[in-house]
Amino acid sequence: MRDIDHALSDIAGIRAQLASSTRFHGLAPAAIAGSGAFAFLAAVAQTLWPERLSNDPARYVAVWVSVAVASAALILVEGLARVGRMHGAMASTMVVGTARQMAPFGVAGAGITLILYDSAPGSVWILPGLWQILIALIGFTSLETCQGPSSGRPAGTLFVAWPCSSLPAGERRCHRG
Amino acid sequence: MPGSDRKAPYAYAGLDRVFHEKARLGIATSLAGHAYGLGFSDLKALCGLTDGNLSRHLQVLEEAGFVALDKGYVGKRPHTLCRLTDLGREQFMAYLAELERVLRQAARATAGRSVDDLKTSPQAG
Repeated sequence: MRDIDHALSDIAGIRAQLASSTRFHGLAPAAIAGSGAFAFLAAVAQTLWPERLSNDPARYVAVWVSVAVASAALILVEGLARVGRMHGAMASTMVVGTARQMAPFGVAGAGITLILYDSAPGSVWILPGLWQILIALIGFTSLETCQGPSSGRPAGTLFVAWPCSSLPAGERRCHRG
Repeated sequence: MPGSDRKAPYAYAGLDRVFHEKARLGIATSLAGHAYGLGFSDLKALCGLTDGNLSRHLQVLEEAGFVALDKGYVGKRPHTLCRLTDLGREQFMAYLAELERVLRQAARATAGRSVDDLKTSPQAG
């Protein structure tokens, strides 16, 4: 390797190090709250119109996948605008770093959805809860780089505690039904 | 500025003089990987600087707004925590981008020459 190539590789390394230790300001609280509002509306709609939206596993999954896509789009659009504004020259590096950090959770969520729908369609009702646990894991793994321990830990704990308490309740209700 | 780049492609205005000094480049690179900063003595060991030299260079970086120095105590001992500010991180990233541009231009300029030619060629400027 030539000296110049070696120097370029060193610069890429320093840049990656700089990006990984810089707090990401792209996650907007309003967009995150908006995703929660989408989920709440979907849950209310499924409760009001169970025949149309939740009795059939395919429709149930379609509703929640729509919520996930709309939430991701909202967070992405708002996030890209904020990143450009708040990170300046670091914007593209920060976006790539954050996407790389979150991609495994997205793949895991998609995998869980496909496997559950394919092999246990009667249990797809647990999907939102499982996704919520994955979101909590994103929160915990990004404590240092996204939101800071003070706000991240309570939010992550809530995201784990809520499905962990509601999934057994749902299970009992299914058995009664 | 794109316009000035076209007029003087080798001006390298983005090579900020605050970072473009051996000791300060070492300080910025050491701090780049630590979100919460480094203690003065750790930084001194990493950069191989004396107390006086490190203080002088940190002062330059602090005056430019690129480094923040948080002075406090660990137990009864005084402790100075040095960290890159958001502005410092942004400017250092821009500096690295410019440095990368310099190297790429140098690589293109010397692409057709052998290593021996480069070793014996006189330095410009």
